[in-house]
Amino acid sequence: MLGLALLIAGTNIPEKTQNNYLRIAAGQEINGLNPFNPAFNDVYSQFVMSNIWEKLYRYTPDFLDNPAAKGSSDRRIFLWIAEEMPSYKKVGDNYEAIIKLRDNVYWWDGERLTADDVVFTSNLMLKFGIPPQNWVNWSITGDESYVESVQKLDDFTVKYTLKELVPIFETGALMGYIFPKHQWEPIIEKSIEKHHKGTDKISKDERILIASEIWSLNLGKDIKLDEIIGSGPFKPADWRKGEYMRLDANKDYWAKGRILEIDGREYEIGPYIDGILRKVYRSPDISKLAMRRGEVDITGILPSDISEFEKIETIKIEDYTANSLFYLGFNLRRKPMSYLSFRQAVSYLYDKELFNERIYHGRLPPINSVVPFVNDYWHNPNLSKYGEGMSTAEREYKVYIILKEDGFKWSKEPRFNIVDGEVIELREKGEGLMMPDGEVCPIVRLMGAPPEEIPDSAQANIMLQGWMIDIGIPAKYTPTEFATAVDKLSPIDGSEPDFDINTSVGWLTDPDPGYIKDLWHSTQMPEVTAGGNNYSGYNNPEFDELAEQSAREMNPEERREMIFKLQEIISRDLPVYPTNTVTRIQVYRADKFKDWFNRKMYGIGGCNNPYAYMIIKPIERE
Amino acid sequence: MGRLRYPLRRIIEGLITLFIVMTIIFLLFRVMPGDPLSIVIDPKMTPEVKEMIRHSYGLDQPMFVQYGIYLKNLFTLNLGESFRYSQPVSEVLAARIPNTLLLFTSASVLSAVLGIILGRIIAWRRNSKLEYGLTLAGLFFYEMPIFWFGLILIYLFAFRLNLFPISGMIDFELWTLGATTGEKIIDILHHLILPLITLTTASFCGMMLLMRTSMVETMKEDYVEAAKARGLPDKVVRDSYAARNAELPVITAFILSLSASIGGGVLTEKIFSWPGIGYELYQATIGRDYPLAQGCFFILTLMTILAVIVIDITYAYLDPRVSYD
Repeated sequence: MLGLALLIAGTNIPEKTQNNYLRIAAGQEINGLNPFNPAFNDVYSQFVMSNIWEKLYRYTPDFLDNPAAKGSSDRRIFLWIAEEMPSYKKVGDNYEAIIKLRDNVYWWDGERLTADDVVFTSNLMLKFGIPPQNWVNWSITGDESYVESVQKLDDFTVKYTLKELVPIFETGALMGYIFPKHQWEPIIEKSIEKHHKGTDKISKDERILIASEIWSLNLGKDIKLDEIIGSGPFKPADWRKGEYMRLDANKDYWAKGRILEIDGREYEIGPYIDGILRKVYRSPDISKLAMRRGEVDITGILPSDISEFEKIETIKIEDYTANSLFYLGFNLRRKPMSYLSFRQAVSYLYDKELFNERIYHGRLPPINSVVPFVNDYWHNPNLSKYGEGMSTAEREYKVYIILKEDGFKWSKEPRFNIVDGEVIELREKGEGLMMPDGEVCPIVRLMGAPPEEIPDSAQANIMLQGWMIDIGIPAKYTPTEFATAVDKLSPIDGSEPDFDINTSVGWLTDPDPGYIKDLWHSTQMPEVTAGGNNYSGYNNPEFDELAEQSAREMNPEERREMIFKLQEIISRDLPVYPTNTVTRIQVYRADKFKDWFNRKMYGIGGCNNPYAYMIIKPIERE
Repeated sequence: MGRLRYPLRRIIEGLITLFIVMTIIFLLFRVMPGDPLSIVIDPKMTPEVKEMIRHSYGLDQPMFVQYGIYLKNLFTLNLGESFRYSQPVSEVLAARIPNTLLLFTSASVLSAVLGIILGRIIAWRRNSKLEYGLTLAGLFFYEMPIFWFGLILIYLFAFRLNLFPISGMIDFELWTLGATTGEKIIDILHHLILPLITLTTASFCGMMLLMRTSMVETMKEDYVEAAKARGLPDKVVRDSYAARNAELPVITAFILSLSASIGGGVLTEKIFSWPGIGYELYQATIGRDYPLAQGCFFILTLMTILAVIVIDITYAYLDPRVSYD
């Protein structure tokens, strides 16, 4: 066997052809490419889709204000397929939004992208309820729809009739992919013909059958890779499942030569590389070795890996803070979580600075708001910091005071060593905590990720449990696997969530802060809307009203004030306690390619940085 | 008639076992906590879209209806459609099984060959330094975490010495940018070596010790003593008299390991990024992809039952002492 191995090792392995493909080490396989299939919402599938289909508008590359977006609900909106910002007019009870398209956008097969394509795509939602995957968040179908109709005015002008004018129209519906009518209409029509009987309107059951059929289309097989029609900078060319995907550069990209201004510097759009090769490495240890050996050009690493890459001159290291939100979620339906003082107490005890330094090695920077600081336009920096800069003993003492002042009692009070007014240490642990109503405090379960799933998080939970017990709060860390946790937090059968304090679920939030309403509006309690995300059961009419107003406010300055106030309310009432966001580190080959663009919140490449690979240049070509 | 009735009876028993196992698997997935569509359904979706999704996955039906469809599908060998890939399970499996078979079946064969040869030698040379050395080495590799051993091999032979590829089954640049069939075959072999060495090294010991024990027992038999007394050369006595009969239990273990090899191995496939069925089964189970996980288990169960039937029937034919009744 050894002989055979050495023989094969010694065999001349064919030389690879010289090329300028960018090789990406990916952690997982792509689920699929069908843009209508809701199962393909993974970032890997979305990365490929974002290079195939494009949007009318995007956010500016560096998330800075765009002067052209002066009259919009978000100053960071950036023109892409659209040539101008939408213009609005009130007509009767409705609003009309006019969208002008560029006349130089072409599909890969040479057809021009026109108003017909935009109208067709919007109608998929409005008429057939077939939501393109990235449109599902922006309910524009059914009774909740704010879009009345869409029509073509001329080849490059589209008119949307809106029941109400809402920011999410711009940052949601107008930021969905546009699909070529000439490719998808025959497919949709064939399905309608098959499932729709009679001449009446398509029924709900028929729509379900049509949508299911469209979702099950296998792009790559039912529609071959080279038959997929997009307008983006890279075309899928070869896909060996479980191994790699190759995307070839669209040499006739319509945006070629357009200038992108990023952080004061101008970049001309290409693409300049031959394409993208996406290789699956299932173990991060191995993708790291592949990067060091030069097998790939970009990969993600952990903070502990930085030192070994710092020594390599040809490799550069960049980090970015993601727009992620992690928090402690309290179940306000249960005691003692229903006491604000108790929630404040736990928030003081959760030492996120210490966790970030000692356990997470700087990977999870602390946050104080449900809008992470990296989303700076909407982030309110003036919120309570609950214990920042305090020692563990000081935090414990503060908790003791908060609980005591609210009427909590102990059979044996915790005792502290205080010298000259300075809390030195907890001398004796508290025991037998009783709530202000005189009942014994029940055991508080900390529902968190199991050690085998996320060891660091488990360690943090154990430490929090220890601090709670020190004060006399009966606490128990309950390791709960992710899918089970989701089931307990957000039951789909309309029952009440089953948890005390949740430490295990987080969100990759949108740049638009509309998610605040979706996460904490009282209608989003799972017992009100099955599967809703207001796990805590937060029910505050003041919050609800303001959240609804903010969802309708088109003036960004006024909306910002509302969003700031909403953050204040959450920070005050603590249905959740924001704990941290995530910093990610990427390493890339600086000797092979130049003009790498590390986008704020999203890093280099990925589904949310569509600009990076259309401006990157191979160095050999110079 | 007896010779036909026995295999027939074993096949019927096998089918009943398959039915019971698949029913248990169906129920196990349903009692697992967590909604399989929680990763697909977004709470911000309208109720109609949510309903569409449940319907398209067949999860809007009562459980007994789902079970009926499941059994009907199994009977017609329709394994359903993967939730994750929205692709027929048979297609997902068809793409992964050959990769798994190539690696894990090769490893099973190599382990068996190596185990039988070494087991035969150490049984013959009992209490020698060779026996202690090989047993110790075998046990060491057998108990070693395969993940760690694989990493060591990759680091030494792929990363440091640059003799083998770091991971995967093929060189993606070579394949996608043009290579001849011959070059592709060499490339696959090149990628196969390290995971094959890892698996074989970790598993030959079981076969070796089984062969040794079986052979030690056989060597006590009268006919072996008689062969020695007749003055036959050691090699003839060892290989033609003792080893041949001692191989029966080893062959049983080998056939079972062959049938199990279709299930691949999560850790090996992860560390070597080998696109096989083991890692897929793991992902399908934790991701609540019922159809894909059930499909994997169906194939595994089927192969195990087939292997057991083959072993039983082969035994009955090979060993006259085994009765058909």
